[in-house]
Amino acid sequence: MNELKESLFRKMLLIRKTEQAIDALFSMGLLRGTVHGCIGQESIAVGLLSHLDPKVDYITGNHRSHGHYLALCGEPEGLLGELMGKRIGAVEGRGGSQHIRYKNFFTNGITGGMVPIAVGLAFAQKKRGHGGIVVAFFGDGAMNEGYVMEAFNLASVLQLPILFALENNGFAMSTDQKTTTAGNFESRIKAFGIEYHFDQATNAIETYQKCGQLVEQVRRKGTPLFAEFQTHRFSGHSKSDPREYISEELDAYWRTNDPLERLGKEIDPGKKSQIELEVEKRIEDAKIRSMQSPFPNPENEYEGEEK
Amino acid sequence: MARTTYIENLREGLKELLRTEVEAFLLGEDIAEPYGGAFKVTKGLSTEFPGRVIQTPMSEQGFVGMGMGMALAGMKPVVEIMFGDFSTLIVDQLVNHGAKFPWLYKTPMHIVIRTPMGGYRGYAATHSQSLERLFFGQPNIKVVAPSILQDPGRLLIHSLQQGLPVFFVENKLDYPRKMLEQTKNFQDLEIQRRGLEFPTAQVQVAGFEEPDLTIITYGGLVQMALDLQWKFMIEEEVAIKVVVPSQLSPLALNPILGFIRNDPQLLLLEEGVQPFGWTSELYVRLKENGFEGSVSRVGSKPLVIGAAQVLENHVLPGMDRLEETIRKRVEKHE
Repeated sequence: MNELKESLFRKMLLIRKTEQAIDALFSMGLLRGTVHGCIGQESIAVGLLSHLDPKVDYITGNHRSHGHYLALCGEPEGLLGELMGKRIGAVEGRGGSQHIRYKNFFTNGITGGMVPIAVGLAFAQKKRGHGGIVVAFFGDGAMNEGYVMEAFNLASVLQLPILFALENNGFAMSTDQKTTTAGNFESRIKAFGIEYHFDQATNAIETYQKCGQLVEQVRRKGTPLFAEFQTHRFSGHSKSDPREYISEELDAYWRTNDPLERLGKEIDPGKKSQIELEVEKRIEDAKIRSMQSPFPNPENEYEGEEK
Repeated sequence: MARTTYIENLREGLKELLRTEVEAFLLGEDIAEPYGGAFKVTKGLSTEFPGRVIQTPMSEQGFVGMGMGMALAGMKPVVEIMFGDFSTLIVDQLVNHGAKFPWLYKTPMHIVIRTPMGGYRGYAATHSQSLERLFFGQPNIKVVAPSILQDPGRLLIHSLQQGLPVFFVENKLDYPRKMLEQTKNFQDLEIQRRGLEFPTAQVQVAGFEEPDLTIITYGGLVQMALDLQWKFMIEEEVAIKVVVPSQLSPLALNPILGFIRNDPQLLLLEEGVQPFGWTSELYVRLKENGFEGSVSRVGSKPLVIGAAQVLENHVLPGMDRLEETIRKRVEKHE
């Protein structure tokens, strides 16, 4: 158990510290574009993806996928380098924050757009019968996109091996879900004939264990499941967002229940400091390597593309 | 693919794909038996290839996205959109997803979206349009149009090997038409082709090789162009050359230039709305590449296609309008 706690803590801390490093690099003017941070949501990425193999399973992410990427590969230079537009980046500077690939993990920047694609990946998994499954991450904003509903219907009709993972942080950008969303997610999902599970993602170990059961069930039965993770985003929607729409009370509740902080308290303090140092060093090293990495050469990157 | 009609030729192509590509699948609405597709293109295939024809709900965004996912996994889906007009619904999955993956993720995407475009059948505003223009010029989307001159089945097979999404523009009026080599005029025609996978074809009437005018068009309007070519030859001894590319975007310019470089005048013809259309781009590119003759254009007017025949005729390019344009051009030239 201690080993598990330390391993989850290390992975979650790597995500949080990398996100903080990204914020710092932005304030120093070293990054272009924008980012969508996932501070506060780390336990879902880590809890779920620790049970998957990106060589066998397919995973789709969204605009807020830094955590998913790091949970899968643990290589901060892939992310930092990508944000700097460097060759060392996950897709060599082609994609930036929102368009990342790592093995069978793919993200894209259109809200909900990867969910029907995940259904197609699940169709391939089923037809090939190699035991692989699909996990599709999306946020509560995507729950109001039409093609996401179409994807649920397709996955249910075709009985595909897919786990839909809703990271519900309550806000679609700045818009409070309560003002835009009729009914509730549970009844929507059940209406599609898909089994629904809920996790108040405040306890990383519990989240990890529940995810293990869900992944195992999808693998065994080959049919769709839906998991809603109630979570909180301490990052702004994007880098320029001062989070005026989030109340003090909500932040206070989640500060007390922050899964990373809670997990940290369950680890031997000496071990914890050691992990913290190692993670800091890993990120520092990734930062330096990313800065040293060259920019892509447009002539090479677009070679043979213009027709 | 030596089948008599366009639709048979196309269906043969689909069959060959299903026979030779173990991971080829057909997706679409009402494409399985007993219906076999709104235009019967996939008739019989769900029986002949069990499990390979996936009849989908009416969720164009959803099942095109599913096709993109299958292609991302390395499968080879062919997705039917029942009417070309419905391709407005799938723009996001094509433009923002499928077209981005080959370059962003360095992974080939073998997927064809095939759909019938075009009017002249009284289907009115939302079932008659030629909306392939939505995808013209989009990076990493190839727009291909077969015709009675260009083996639809063969083009389809090539389209699935491109490694990037292909938007495959069929034409409703073309389905029952005979392939050109099956028609009675065929023996009097001289046909040349340039290009391998998506050839551009040139049709001339034997003995009329010095064109008074050259029509460049594609897809369903090829028949109209050939009818006029024949009519002008018989009635007025006017020589019309017809040039037909099958790859519309990116524009296959060199084969076209090869056929028309020394021709005196061109008439660019498309069924889509003319302003900002395919012929607009073609016009500019021909001029940029040194074509010196005169060029005129005929396309649809930028108006909603009405239901009544007189309204439809007013909007779409028809024989009368085309004939009048040709006559003026030819007289002026003489």
